[in-house]
Amino acid sequence: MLFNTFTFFVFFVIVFFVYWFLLKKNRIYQNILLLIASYIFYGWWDWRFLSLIVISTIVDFAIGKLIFSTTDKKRRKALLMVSLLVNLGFLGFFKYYNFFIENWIQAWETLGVSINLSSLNIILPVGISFYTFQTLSYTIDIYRKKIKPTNSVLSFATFVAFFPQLVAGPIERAQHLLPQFLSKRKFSYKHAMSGVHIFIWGLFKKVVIADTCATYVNVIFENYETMSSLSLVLGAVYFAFQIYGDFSGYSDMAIGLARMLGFDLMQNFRYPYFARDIAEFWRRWHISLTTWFRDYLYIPLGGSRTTKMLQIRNVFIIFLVSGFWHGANWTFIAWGFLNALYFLPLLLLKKNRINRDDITMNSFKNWINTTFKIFITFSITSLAWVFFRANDIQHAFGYLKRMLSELSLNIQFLSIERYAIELIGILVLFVVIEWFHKKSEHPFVGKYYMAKITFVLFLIITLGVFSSHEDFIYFQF
Amino acid sequence: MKQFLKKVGFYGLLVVILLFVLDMIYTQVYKNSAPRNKVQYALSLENENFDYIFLGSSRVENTIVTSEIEKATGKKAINLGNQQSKLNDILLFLKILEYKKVKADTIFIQVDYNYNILKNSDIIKSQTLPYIRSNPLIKSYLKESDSTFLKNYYLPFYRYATNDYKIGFREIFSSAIGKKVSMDLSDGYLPLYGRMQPDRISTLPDKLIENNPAFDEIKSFCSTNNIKVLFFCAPFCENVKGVELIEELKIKIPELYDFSDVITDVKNYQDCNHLNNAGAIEFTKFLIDTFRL
Repeated sequence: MLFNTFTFFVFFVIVFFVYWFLLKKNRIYQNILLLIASYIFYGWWDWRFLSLIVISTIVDFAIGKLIFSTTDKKRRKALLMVSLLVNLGFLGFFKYYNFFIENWIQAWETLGVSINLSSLNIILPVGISFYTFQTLSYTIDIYRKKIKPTNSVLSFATFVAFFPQLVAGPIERAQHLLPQFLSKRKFSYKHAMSGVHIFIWGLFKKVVIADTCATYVNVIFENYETMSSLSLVLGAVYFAFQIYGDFSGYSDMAIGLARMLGFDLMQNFRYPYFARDIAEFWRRWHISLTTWFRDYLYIPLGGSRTTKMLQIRNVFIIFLVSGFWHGANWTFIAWGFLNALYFLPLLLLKKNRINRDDITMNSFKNWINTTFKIFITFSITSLAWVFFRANDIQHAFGYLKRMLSELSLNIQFLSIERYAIELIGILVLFVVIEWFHKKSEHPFVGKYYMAKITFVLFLIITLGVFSSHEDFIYFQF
Repeated sequence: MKQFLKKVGFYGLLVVILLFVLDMIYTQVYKNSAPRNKVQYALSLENENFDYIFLGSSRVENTIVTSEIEKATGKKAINLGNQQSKLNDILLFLKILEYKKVKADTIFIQVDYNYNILKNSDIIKSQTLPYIRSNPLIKSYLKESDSTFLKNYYLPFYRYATNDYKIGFREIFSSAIGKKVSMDLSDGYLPLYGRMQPDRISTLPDKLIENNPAFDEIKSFCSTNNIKVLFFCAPFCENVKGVELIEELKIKIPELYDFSDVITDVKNYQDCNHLNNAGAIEFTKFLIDTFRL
């Protein structure tokens, strides 16, 4: 069930009315409704995989309580290991089994040894990486004595399966979201309206920006061998906007839906393409995952409070793991590696923590300087996205090689009956809107907010892609 | 909550108003602008007389050089072949022409593996959608074949949103500013250039289906309205597989003119199913000679 479909609209309207009108006086009933709705939402894709969520929920709920109830360090560690094994075991099997088998076979074949291991026809459960990380953070935080386990299995199960963020995040922490299921909800007009506004903006990003870009990106990437350099550059730029519109659009819609139900989810994107360096980009992109890796991987490895060599090692580990988290393909690992390379000079020059302030352009010199930095950061990010989008590593290198060597600036007519350059206008408009509202969550603020909403609704209706519902890219992770 | 519902209701109303207004604007623009596709062009014709009209898919659109016919014979011909047209769509064109009192001495209709296809073309469907409420022929064409007919008919803007690729913003904008299309619609021939790779093949279906109701209806429609119709099969390259289908078709339709093998030289093809410009000219000359047009 995609957020941008009529089916979901009907589903949400029913949930909303039952939740606020029939069950508003009873938090427990509200949680039961949310849990059932979340399981229906998930089961809509494939009900069989609901069992994985249920097992994760039961295991982590029980282990959380057991860890808390014991003071024996070894036992606590062993219990944590069980949680890690179960959760990462599911993730490893469903997401990475075939990758390892195939690479294992290939590695032996390069040595001239033929081995007979067969890969399995495994379907990847939607959103497995997201809810696995969410439940893991719960047991790890209990182990670290940062939180106490909940006594309510219902609240915990709802926290794990909460449908707005179940399949593509934001990856919430128990510390932040779980207490919200344990307390009574009060409807707030302001809160709910902000949810509606952020949902509309997310919908715009998805159906106008991401899905329109997707139609161009698919053609350009699949036919890169016949494309000019300019078309390939545009393909990379379009994909940068596609993935941003798709993923941040989904996050916005998730945040908006949660707010309409009285919940607060964490911000997942903060205008990442206005970042002035790659470190700032990663503080603004997929914040819930970046902070997860920071807290549960980077800092335990020593983070930046260690020797330079270990810092470099830690940076590579975190980016490579982050790449691999996205998918079992060398392209994602290359993407992570490239980002680590981008980050390295900042780390070595101790400049990874500059640009933490808001972007200001108070003089012409400052304007030039900031624009240049944003342009460079966007360019190298787009270059790395080529690996993210490519079907395999050869595809990525072939694409980049042709992009940098073909050197023709032809404006090509694509098989989708569009000129390769046609989309630029919409993207410029999008960047301008975001730029002037970069201090707020969405553009519907200020005196003319109604006019802005009308305009965006107009754009969604007229420019939105409704003929084919493109899946959200991050569902596959 | 009341305030929230009021506000959300207002947004909902705003969306509905936008949908109605945009639907009205789009429909009016399509109705009143210069034709940009062959459905629009056929609908714009009124009381016209042609000597020859050609109907079919891209195997007609890219194959019959009407200007050659006019040049050689001085007679008036039009190519109303349309990419991806199926027999249902050809029937619609016949009905539109009759409705618009467009007469022709002979109508040539392409029949080949399209006999096996019972559904309509998505392209023609999307081109007809702006007229769903204003043209009874189109209404009935869509009612019979389109599973989303009710949504397209009753929900404002639904047809434009779900067919954005063909009749969405880009097309409406082009129509509104009067942007010309790449082909001359009054002639209707769209040339293809380039040559096929000699090793390219095309595969026709294994078996002919029992019956195509649209074909039967075409025959009965032409007979009822005294339309002289000739069925023909346009050329395929020599690499085509399953050409036995055409033999089967000739048994089913004895009056079918089989021209599937009249152009043999690979240099005349753009791909195995489509002649290039040189091949199209050669084939048109062949038709002129064969039928003494």
